[in-house]
Amino acid sequence: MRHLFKLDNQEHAVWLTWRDGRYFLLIGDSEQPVALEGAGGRDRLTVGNVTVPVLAAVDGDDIHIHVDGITRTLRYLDPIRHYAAHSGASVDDVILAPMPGTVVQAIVSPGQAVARGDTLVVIESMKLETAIKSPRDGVVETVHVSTGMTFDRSAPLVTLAPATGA
Amino acid sequence: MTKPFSRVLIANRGEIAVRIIRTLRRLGIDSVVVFHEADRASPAVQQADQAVEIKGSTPVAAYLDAEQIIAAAKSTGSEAIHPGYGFLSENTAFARAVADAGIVFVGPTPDAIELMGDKIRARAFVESHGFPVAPSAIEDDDPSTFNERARAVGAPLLIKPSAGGGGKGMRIVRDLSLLDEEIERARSEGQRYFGDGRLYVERYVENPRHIEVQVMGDAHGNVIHLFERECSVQRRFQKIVEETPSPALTPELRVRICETAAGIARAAGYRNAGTVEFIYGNGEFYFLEMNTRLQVEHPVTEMVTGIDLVAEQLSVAAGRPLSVSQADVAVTGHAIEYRIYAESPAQGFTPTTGRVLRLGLPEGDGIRLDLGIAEGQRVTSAFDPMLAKLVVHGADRAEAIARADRALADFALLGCETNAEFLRRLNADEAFGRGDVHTGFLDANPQIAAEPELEPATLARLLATASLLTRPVRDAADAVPELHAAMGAWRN
Amino acid sequence: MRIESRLDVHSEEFRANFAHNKALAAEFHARQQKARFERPARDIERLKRQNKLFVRDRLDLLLDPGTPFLELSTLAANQSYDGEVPGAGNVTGIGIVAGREVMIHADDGSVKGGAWYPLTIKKMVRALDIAIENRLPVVHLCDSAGGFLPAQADLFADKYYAGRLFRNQAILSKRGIPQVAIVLGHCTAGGAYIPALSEYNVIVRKTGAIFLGGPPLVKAATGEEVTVEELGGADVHTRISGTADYPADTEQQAIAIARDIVAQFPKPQKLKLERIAPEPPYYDPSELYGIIPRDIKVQFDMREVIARVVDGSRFHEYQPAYGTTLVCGFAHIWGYHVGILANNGVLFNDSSLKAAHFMQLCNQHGVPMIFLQNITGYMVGREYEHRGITKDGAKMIMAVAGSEVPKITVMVNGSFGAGNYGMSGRAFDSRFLFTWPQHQISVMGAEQAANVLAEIKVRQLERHGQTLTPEEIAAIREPILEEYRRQSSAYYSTSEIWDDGILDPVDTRNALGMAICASLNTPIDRPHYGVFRM
Repeated sequence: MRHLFKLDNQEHAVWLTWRDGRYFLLIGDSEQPVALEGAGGRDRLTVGNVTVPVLAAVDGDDIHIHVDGITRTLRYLDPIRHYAAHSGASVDDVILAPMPGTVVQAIVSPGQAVARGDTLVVIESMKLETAIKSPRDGVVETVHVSTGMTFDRSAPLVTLAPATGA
Repeated sequence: MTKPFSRVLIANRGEIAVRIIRTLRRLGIDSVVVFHEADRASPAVQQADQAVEIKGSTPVAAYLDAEQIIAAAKSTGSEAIHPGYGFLSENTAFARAVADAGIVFVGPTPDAIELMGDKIRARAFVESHGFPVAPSAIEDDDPSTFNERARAVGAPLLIKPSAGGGGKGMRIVRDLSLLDEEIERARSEGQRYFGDGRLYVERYVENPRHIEVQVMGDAHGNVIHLFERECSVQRRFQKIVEETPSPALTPELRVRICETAAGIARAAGYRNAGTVEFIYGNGEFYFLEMNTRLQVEHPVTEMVTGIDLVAEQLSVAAGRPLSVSQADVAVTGHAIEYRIYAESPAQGFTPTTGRVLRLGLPEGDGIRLDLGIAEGQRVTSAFDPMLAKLVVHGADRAEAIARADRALADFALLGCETNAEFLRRLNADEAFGRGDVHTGFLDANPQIAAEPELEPATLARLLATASLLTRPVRDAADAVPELHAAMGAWRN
Repeated sequence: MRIESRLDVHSEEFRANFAHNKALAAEFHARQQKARFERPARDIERLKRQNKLFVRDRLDLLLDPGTPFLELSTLAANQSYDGEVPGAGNVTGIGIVAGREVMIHADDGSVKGGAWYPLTIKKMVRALDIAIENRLPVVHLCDSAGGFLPAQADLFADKYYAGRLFRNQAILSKRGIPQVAIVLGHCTAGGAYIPALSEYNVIVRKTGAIFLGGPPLVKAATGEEVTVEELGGADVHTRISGTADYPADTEQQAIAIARDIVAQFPKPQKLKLERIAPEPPYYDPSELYGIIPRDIKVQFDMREVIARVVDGSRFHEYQPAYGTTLVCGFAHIWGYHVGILANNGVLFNDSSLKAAHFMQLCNQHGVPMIFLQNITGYMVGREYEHRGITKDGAKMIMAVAGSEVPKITVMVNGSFGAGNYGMSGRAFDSRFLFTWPQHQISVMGAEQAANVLAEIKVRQLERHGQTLTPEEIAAIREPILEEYRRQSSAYYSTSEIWDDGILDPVDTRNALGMAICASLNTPIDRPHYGVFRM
């Protein structure tokens, strides 16, 4: 599985190999030796047998690069996150009770937009209050419980509308 | 010569604050700068001898707070306040309040600011002194004769709503037989958009060029001009590239425009720095307005004349006569300024934000960079998106353009997208190279804003750099055992 | 010292051999390609409908790009099941995943739904045996319809049948060798144990499922009606039962997760085997095609083969003047220091002793051994028996069976009779065993055996009063010869998984390099043997 970088809304698949004491970069079917040496002000990048000055700054998964008179930002796409489904219903849509208990408060209502991590329902079980949070950004479709209701483990609490393609 | 002041407060931010500090330092004058929290990491705050925090409901509001600024000047013992450009620089009340506080305002008199600040009054003033203004007809003067007087202005003409602004509701009329119809339509539009159907009409110059003249006056009645600047490369009335000398002017025209500007300033008894703006086209030029402050693009004038305009401003503000006479002012070579904005030309020039992670600055002969941001600073939408000015000087226009190409290629700001590549494409444009520009140039050439496809070699370089700097990619390469890496993608 | 080649590459003999063997290699590649990729259109369509990837595409995603993959037993089952189960319905091999050397076992859902035939199971058991012996982590790509019921008598009850899979999985875990299973289809009945016995597993929503009995069986057994998802889908097993560890939305995500899991495995402790910078052979490996004679009875100098496999064609020959029908010595392959034993004719007393002695040398110094077989057997006859040829053959077997260092066998040409044993045949626990396309293997040569069997048949008929014409004898003899030849061919051997795969001769060096590297994960004991009958 190659590494994916996003540049200007296009994905590029590459692979880096270490061999004979240097790195080689595979793009498509062609491979070239590559090296990056820092020397104070500007760094020097070698691809093939040509060396050019380059300036780069890394910020998390974003790599900002200035080379050949242009500046671009490439983003490294983590494969596990990248290959997750983008559309259609998934089981993340129905939020189930992790244990039996009582509803302290149903925070959200149908039609409400929620962000990942927002509290949907507060439940109480075994003298402990737990905030049940949304696993993803989305819109609440149904709230199955109301304040004071008791429920079993794995009972549906809130259903989110299926995520639309992104 | 003793220094004009011992301490000056700069009521501004960004690149102009840095530029003013540079001259203050050269003259041995203490610099004080006011700043909003959002600018704490900015270079001006880092470089000033003293920095005083000011507060506001928004960052911009802080820099508009006259009380706080004057209080800061007093508490630091600053003898003068330099207002820069924008913010309070053309605010008559502020100029008066500064004077009332016993502090010197580095700029023109409040009366001059007031006169030129009212566009209608200024225009009337200039016209009454016999200087050229665009022929016009104002409906308010006599509504019943408006259409007639409008026709007399001559084609092409521009119908403008009195209550309008920002280019809204303006109609160009090239065929006078359609004039009455267009006036009706403009009136109903004015009513619809601004709740006011009154109009005025002005002569329209086709493909106009924006020419302005730098003037400087002292308290002793001396007024000189420091030649012109052309600022025609604009977008939505925002200047992007300015240069001097203007490629459009013949020597005779140059003299006429510059002397007209000096004449206007003289007639107004103008002191300190100012700029008279004209619309030029087809051999005719008309007064547009006068700006009673130091302008953003003043560096191009400094580079061809060798005169430090801020130093001159300080000297004049301290009551000294101009340090040069008109005869002493000469132009050498050609200078062009490119404004570097935090914006994305390919996405319709929308403003961009980010953090300045790394800077790579061009250097060399004839290169001047007025930078308003430092590494580590955040670029937000709180302020105007201009980050820096690249000013290039050459023996002639071609040399300046060549130097600018190199400098724009070398300029690197990582972490926030800028228009630097767009400026380079603009600089390389054939028509620009010939000097065939006008205020509609960029709108007429949308292809300059479009980003060309990356060369395969450049794409490979980007991917190589990203790969070598991304840990998971490098770690995956380092993890493969030597034998298998050497064998490559072999299959039996 | 560099082997001096005495080969005349311009001779007619060389050219004829070359053409013959090159054609055999080409045919071999064509058959491999077919077994790997050609599938009936309806099976490919079915995969698409089920939202599943073809097994080769899954492997491309799983493996590190730019790394080698040593596929084992590609042509398993090529002579069984009417040729309808190419590769026995799965793919096994050693590859690099997230920088780790792993054994991969992947069900091929495009072949009979990934059903397990007897040879499918044999191939999987062999892959796991290799994983155990070489301490290789295992990645399972599960997508199988389950056991092929009509053949259940040949895949269920015996010691090395299906149960051995799960026993091997348990032993891998017991020995601290991790496994990760990716559930990309249904894991039913026995198949359910593969993910359950893997220390880590990933399951794809909507296509993956794990259950001991599927919905039809459940309905038949208890009347309960339940869907695949509700019975054993991804969310049931990752949220409720805890049978599965990581849910995935797509196959690509599942494989990405599995790669990340493999990246967490501890790095192996390799044996300290001397390794120098690799060097390609001095002589051109393609000349191997010209070295092997068209007729298996014709002798050739095995040194010419060695010269085209080892680094720099450099070979330190041990006892060059003694026991000359057995060539042995030291060399490097891909930089690894190894001992080589090779046949240059029938084994005599002296060559047998030399072989046993050299094997002890290799064990003494922890050097892996490479056996290059071209053996018709031991010398027979009074002189040799009196000298103890049987004892000497036994000593060879004692040495090879008692060896602690890794052994890798390549059957370069013939492997007949007891010579197979002394030169580390299948029964003698070589870590890997490969063959060449023209290789033949049987208890005795085909001609000889056909003669013997025909003779028996003729005698039998004569006892019942029939005398036969030469043509009638030939008519009895020919089919026996045919059948014998078929069952001693490399393709038959590889079909039955008597070996780990046929190699194009020019691929031998790379295969050995990977095999040697893989063999170095297992600590080896100090040398010790049974009793050598002296």
